[in-house]
Amino acid sequence: MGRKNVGSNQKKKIRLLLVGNPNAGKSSLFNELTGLNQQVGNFPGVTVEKKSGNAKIAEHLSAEVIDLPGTYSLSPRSEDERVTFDYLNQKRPDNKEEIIVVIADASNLRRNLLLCSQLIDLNLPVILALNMMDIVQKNKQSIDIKYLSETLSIPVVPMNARLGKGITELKANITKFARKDRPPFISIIEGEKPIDNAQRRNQRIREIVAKAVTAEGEMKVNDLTRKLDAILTHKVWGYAIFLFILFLIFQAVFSWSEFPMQMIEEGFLFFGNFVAESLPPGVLNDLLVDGIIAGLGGIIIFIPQIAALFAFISILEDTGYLSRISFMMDGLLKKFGLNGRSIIPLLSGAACAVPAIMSARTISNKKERLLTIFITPLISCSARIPVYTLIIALIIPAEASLGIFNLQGIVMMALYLFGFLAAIGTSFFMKFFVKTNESSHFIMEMPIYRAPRWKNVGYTIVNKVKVFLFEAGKIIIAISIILWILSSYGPGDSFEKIDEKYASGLLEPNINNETMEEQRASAKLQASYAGQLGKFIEPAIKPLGFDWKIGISIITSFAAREVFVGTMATIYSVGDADNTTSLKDKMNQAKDPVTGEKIYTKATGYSLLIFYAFALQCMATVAIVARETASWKWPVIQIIYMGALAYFASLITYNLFS
Amino acid sequence: MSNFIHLSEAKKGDFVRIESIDNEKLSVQLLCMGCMVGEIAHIEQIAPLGDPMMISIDGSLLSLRKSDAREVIVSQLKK
Repeated sequence: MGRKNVGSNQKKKIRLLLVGNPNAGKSSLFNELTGLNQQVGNFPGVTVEKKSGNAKIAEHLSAEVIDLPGTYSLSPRSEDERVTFDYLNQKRPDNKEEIIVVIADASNLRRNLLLCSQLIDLNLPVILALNMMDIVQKNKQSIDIKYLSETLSIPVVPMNARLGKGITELKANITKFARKDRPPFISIIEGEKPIDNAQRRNQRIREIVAKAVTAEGEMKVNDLTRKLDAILTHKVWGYAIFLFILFLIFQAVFSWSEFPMQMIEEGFLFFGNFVAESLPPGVLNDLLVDGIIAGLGGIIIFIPQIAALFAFISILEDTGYLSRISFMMDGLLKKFGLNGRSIIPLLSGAACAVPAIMSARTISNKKERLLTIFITPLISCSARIPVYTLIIALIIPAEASLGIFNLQGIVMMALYLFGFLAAIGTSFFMKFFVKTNESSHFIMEMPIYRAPRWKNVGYTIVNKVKVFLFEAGKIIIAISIILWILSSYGPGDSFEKIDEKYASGLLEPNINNETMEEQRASAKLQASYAGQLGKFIEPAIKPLGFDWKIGISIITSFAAREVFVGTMATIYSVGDADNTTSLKDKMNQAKDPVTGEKIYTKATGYSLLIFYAFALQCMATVAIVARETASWKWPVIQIIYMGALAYFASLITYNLFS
Repeated sequence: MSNFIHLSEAKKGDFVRIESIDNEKLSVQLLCMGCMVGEIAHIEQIAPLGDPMMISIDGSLLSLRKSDAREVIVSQLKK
């Protein structure tokens, strides 16, 4: 009935849905089918990654390929599995012809057939792709493909997606695919409990597998995996190797990315100057250079770190080692409501929270992932270093020491420690408030160790960079423009007055041009909306020991924390922002106009350090959290929570030291 | 003859037979991952921090937290 041949003569487009157990090789197959022709997004309303792409199947047949999240069965227990379940049950408005390709690990057929059998019973058009046939051969087993295909009444294609073997056969099967009526896999019993249904299903699968698979040896865990696990999860060697790998990741994200980041920074500076000089001066020029190009630079600068971190993570995931990290760290981290895998985001957070938060995707439990995302920005990142360095140098003499230790170094270390403690402390309390309807059972499959597939590593990097550029990027550009407007415009005619004042040249006769320009910029920043805002919030930040100048810097720091140094430099108009010594001197001499007391006392300095350690002043982080949690709820809670934490911690610090 | 224990009490290297799983949700989930009543499990590793544990069933490795393993009743087998 209703036999329909897909491979007609006209150009035709169908939809292929890839489903399968986790670790069955779904992403390899997806990459083989689509190549670089793929997009990554989120499934609507949830934080589950949606990968789709286009594949050419035959001369006149192409397919939109959707990679559905890995699932063990159609009784969904996690958000990922729910997405797959819903997607398979939905009718899509375009009525495109759909074929489901179930990819199954042939070396573990019994478990992998469960999902396939459920799909058969839903009467969906299914092709079974038996992946990892190489392991089957290595295990000295053989599978009777013909028997399997006849018993299940579906096409069965043996393949090795890693090496691209069997792709042609799969495509041929898709092309000649014809829907036909099949008997149900197991009989339907009304009102049957899920567990009974699953047991009946398993019984039948056992019978089929027993006939289809002939094995010389018994099923056992691959020897190499066993040997590697004995070392890699060893109580001494396991942690030593793990520490070494963490060190490598840290190096890559922290220092190996430094050079390309510098190149990008200088490139954008050069490009900005070039545009500034080639276009006629005016508002458009300023907006383009200081708003848009600077904003773009602020996005692209993250690419080296994202690429470096994801190169490592995708290798760790592909080889199976990531699951072992989880295995080894879980006992400790679960006490804080986290997952063993949270260790990667938490540590990469010390370099930059943006790639770190993106890496939390490897945590499958929604609650644990959310907690990890929530606390990661509390870890002191590299953007805080310039702020820490400036303030520490300002308030602590280089020769100060505590016993044999240099005091500056101790303070720096203490700031990192406070960040870490705040992070795990927050998680510990938050775990009681975050509720999910996900099952709390934590069972994870540990894949066998395999060599990484470099192609997959490459695709992961490209996809992650794309996601950041296009999805977080637009939010970052928008915020950059707002910040630019705030700091380049002022209420009323205040800006014109400053220009007039400086244009008249009457200010100070013996001043050179450059100094005058700097003073003009400083006057303008003070008169701008950001400046007004700084003055407006002064009463609120006074108890922390901050004046309105620090207030402006706190506001502009939202672009990125290190902007603090540049803004301070402009306010104190010392020209070169990198020349912190002279800025340091100016700040050191700064006096309160009313009381005549020094502004940057120890109390103010420590208070400011604590404020920067805890406050979420980073639009890139806000943007990526919004994207990764698919809502504005979490970034807003995060800004308020971290802001409050910073405020009260600074308040206490200020009063402690004054 | 056979002594019943919780899976969480099994030691590294033990072979156990899964006898019953108290929690229905858990049992469906375990079953989907290849772990069902009657199956033989080998305790491969216990994480250095004491939790979770890694077991192998029918050639595949699973890691489960002790809190879940406590709900699985097993009988110890002679090696």
